[in-house]
Amino acid sequence: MLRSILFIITVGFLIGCQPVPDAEDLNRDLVVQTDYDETANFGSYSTYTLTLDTLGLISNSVKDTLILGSYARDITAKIKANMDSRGYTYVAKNQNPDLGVNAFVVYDFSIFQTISYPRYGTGYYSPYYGYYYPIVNTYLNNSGALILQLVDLKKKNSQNQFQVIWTSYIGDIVSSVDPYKKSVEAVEQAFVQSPNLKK
Amino acid sequence: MKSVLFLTFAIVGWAGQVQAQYFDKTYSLALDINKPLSNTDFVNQVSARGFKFGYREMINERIFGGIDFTNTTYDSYEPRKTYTSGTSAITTDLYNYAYSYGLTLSFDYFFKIEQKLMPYAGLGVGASYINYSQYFNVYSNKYDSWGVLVRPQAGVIYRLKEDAGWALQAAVHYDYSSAKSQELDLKAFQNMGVQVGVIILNW
Repeated sequence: MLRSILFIITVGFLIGCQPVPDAEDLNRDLVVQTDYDETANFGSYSTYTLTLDTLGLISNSVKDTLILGSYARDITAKIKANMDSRGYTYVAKNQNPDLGVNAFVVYDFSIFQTISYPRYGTGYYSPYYGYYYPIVNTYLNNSGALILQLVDLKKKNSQNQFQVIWTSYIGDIVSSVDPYKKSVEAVEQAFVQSPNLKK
Repeated sequence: MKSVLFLTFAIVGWAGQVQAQYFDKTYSLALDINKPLSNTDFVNQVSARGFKFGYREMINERIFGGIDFTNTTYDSYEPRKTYTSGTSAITTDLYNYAYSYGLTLSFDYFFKIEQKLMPYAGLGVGASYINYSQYFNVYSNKYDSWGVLVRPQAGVIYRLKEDAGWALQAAVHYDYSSAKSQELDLKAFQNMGVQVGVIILNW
């Protein structure tokens, strides 16, 4: 009997040893995912608007709705540099832009989707900050993602929803070994892997 | 691997008290080193992270039958690059893992018995479970797959003393598992392996 128990315990112990990659290796770089609306003609847009120096924040555990400071400044500056280099012209919100750029962080929020994105966001212009809430499905708790969206401000459906024509998902910025630097690099990568995003 | 070695020595120590000239039941524990032969786009590294437990009972003088339980973890690393699919693109590095488990009904034919060196050949047939996992950053994709496992094998048992209650065991084997993954476009899993361990005779 004792031998059988020893045998079962030994088997159980070894089965329980399921190796996984080292966390530090896994978090060395951020995952950058992009998707675009194949019906959108990116060459037809000329102007865009973007809230500089500020990122939106969606979180269940933090009351703030905005991120300010150097992180937001460098992220939005990188977005602007890429949009400018792709031939789009930055204008203020009240100058009737063709495109709106949303940039926000989702942190510890239970309804964010990670892989594919809807064509429409249930968006509206917040009176404080101009970003649109994404339609989302699932989310990995205790992680954070930087989301970029390009919204066609000329297309709005009967539910007041604007068409999202390009989205980038960058994560996980919470467990990253260097979230600041890696986020900026990831924004650059989001545009690199989106060659059709140009005037 | 350290765990397998530690447990091997523990079991040898236990069995060291047993003295037997004849045996009709055996238990074995072995380190299992495997090389994948298929799906090498997914996992391609030789894996020393495997073990085998075996149990046999004598059916007749030369044939023993019983069960084998095996586990091997395969992995490989894909450096960071961009994957595109339709309108979507993703840039990441990938850690691919295949956690393979097998439970077979196995039979061995001994060419010689009750000697210091006992060569044998056998066949195991049973169930295979493979969990194919991809890790990237904090995210992962995991797909479970079940299939039939067929394992021809051949090996030797070597007793250091003729009346020893335990012996060293070494074997080579080929595994065919029909556990596929449609999601990852993986076919039947095949591998070659070498097992080195101890066998407890008449425990």
